Amino acid sequence: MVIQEINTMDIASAQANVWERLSQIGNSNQVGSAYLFSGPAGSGKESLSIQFAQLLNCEKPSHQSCEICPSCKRFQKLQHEKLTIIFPLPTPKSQKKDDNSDDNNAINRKDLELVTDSIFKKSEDPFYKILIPKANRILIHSVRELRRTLYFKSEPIGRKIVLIFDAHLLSAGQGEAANALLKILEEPPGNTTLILVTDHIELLLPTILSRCQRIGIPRLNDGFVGEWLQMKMVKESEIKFLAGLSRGNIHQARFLIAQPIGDLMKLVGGLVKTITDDEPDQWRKFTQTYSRLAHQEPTTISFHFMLLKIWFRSINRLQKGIHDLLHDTSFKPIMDRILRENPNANFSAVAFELEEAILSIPQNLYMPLILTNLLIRIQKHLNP
Amino acid sequence: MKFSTSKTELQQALQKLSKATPTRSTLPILGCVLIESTEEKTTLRATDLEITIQAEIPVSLEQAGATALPLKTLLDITNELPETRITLTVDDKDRAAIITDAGEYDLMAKPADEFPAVPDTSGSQKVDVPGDMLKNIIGATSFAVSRDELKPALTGVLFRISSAGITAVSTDGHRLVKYTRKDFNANGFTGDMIVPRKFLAFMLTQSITGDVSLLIGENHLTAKIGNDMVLTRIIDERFPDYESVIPKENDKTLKADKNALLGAIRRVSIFSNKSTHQVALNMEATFCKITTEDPEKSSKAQEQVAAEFDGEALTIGYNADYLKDVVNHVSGDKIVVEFSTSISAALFSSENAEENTESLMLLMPIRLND
Repeated sequence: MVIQEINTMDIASAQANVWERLSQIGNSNQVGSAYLFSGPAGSGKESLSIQFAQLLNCEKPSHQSCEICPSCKRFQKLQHEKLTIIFPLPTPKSQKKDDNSDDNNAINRKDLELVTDSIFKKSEDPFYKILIPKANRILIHSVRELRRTLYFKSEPIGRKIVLIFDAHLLSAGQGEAANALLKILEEPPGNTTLILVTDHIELLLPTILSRCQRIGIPRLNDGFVGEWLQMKMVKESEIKFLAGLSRGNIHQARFLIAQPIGDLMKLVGGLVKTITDDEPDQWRKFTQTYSRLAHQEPTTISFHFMLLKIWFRSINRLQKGIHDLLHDTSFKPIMDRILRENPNANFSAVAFELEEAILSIPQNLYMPLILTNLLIRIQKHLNP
Repeated sequence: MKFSTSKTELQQALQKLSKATPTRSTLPILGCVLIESTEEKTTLRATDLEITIQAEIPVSLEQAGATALPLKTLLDITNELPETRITLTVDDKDRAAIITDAGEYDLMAKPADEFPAVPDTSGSQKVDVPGDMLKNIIGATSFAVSRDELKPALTGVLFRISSAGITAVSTDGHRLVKYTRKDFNANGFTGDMIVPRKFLAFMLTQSITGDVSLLIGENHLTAKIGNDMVLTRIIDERFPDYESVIPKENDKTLKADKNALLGAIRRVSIFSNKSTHQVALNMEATFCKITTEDPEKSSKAQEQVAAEFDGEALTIGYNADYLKDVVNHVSGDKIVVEFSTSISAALFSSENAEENTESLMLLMPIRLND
């Protein structure tokens, strides 16, 4: 309970500008029927959407929800009768609908425990990311179930709220879930607000985008991530390093604190050395290792390249005299050395090359060639 | 909270409540039964947010209170117990114990305030209806309710209540049923409401003796049966203008024995195509021939039923499943079907309508392959 209070209070203050706008909407009589919360991963969009939904149903609302009324208490547990949460689920093995049952056909019986457990964890920690194994799309069953229940009359107090997490996955497959949702967005039921939440606004159908009011959510500041790490009992000496590598992404911070910090430092240091030194043997080993990883463990290579990207962005800021948390860590001497050795380097372009490489991983391209080109281009940017 | 009750009373109440408990909900609290004990009464309540069922049980109360217990666990243990007294206690840390002669079973309860609040039914209009009349109205119409969630208005039965009685209408786009009872006493209430299928299905399974009190509210319909209460949310949609689709100029009339016609359709339809379920009615002056053919399985069937047909010979195709449903729901022994052309809607009714009752069923044909 204490953890939840810290989290919920902080997200409103950490995203103060966004909350100000949401609070104004919530306290006005002009609440829209559909909103789209978009922004970088781990910026607290889902947490904000829950807070906003709670405010819209609070019995004594002000700038924030009261947290003590029965409605707020049920929202805190994500067990409110006016709240529906939709998120990606595994495709049910049998698509046949049981006509005699009004149960939620979107959820496999074997996944139900996992789903309810995930919702419980989400209620305890709003930054918890609900990830059900083998769930790679929002099912049309979920939208159909929503459609069945949304058109019932309800008490005029408060609003029916539908939160759709990872909304870009509505468009997965043939986009049938997105099209089914479109019908609801076109003729929204009264006293209902749908909140779509996504990291990838570009993947949503234009017809859905045009029917939602957009709320852009920026990345979290390093100070907030630092406080969050402190709350998670991370050592004081490691907070700057982890907050710097998290880049305002709370999911990344959560992932990083599960890794041994010494290994992370060694990994980043080793990778920086490999790609900045012009050593053919190391390059060959790098290309071979990461080609294999791209095939076998694509998430690992993405994670490694993302760490590198953050590191090069940080050295770019050092070059331009802008402070960054990683400048206060043991990376600083390495950065100073590389800056001395490459005084005219374009580190921003190096970070961009790494971003391109990350995007190419899921595209089934010939990775040895991609990686070799990456190393050559980085060398060019280091010594223009 | 602490009270004791008989196993049978608790079991019967829980069995009733289990109809309103979703088995695959993302709200775990809905898997619980809310037990509220006061000096006056002890009630059990379950909801799936569409319907809410509340039952009252007689108890020997020691300490009042409220709690939410997992319904399935409570029902399972009650089912397994022999006839005995059951004592239920819940402490302030939500630890519950079921104490019987056989033993003691401990489980965790959930706080009562996590359970969805009971909908506000104040301001509802009370209408008393004889139980058998209510079941007749529901039975005559609920079979034609649509299951297509893309058309929310059609997933329930429209009840149009006025001083002239009640008209219940249901349709799924292929068939439409309009059932009127003129002897329905609306107690001054006038209005429309679309009642969802689940509530209607539940009411059909209840054995009702005497009157049912209907509380008609802005958002909910509540039925009070004795000490039990069933509440449903009403569908917030506009029902289509059904009167405009009921044909007024069907000039060809078929009269036949209902059971003979239904039996023939049932037998012939066994040989129909499994995806189209297509059967044809060939009507001549003195008979009606029911035919079907399934080229995929090289099967065909035909049967002739004595009938009176007033009009030019006509052949019309139907989905056998819909046709069986409609014919089966015609009351009395004699059926009257009014046709116009082979591609327009036909009207099915009973030759000898019951007093104060009007029943009309519309069925759309399917185009026959020549």
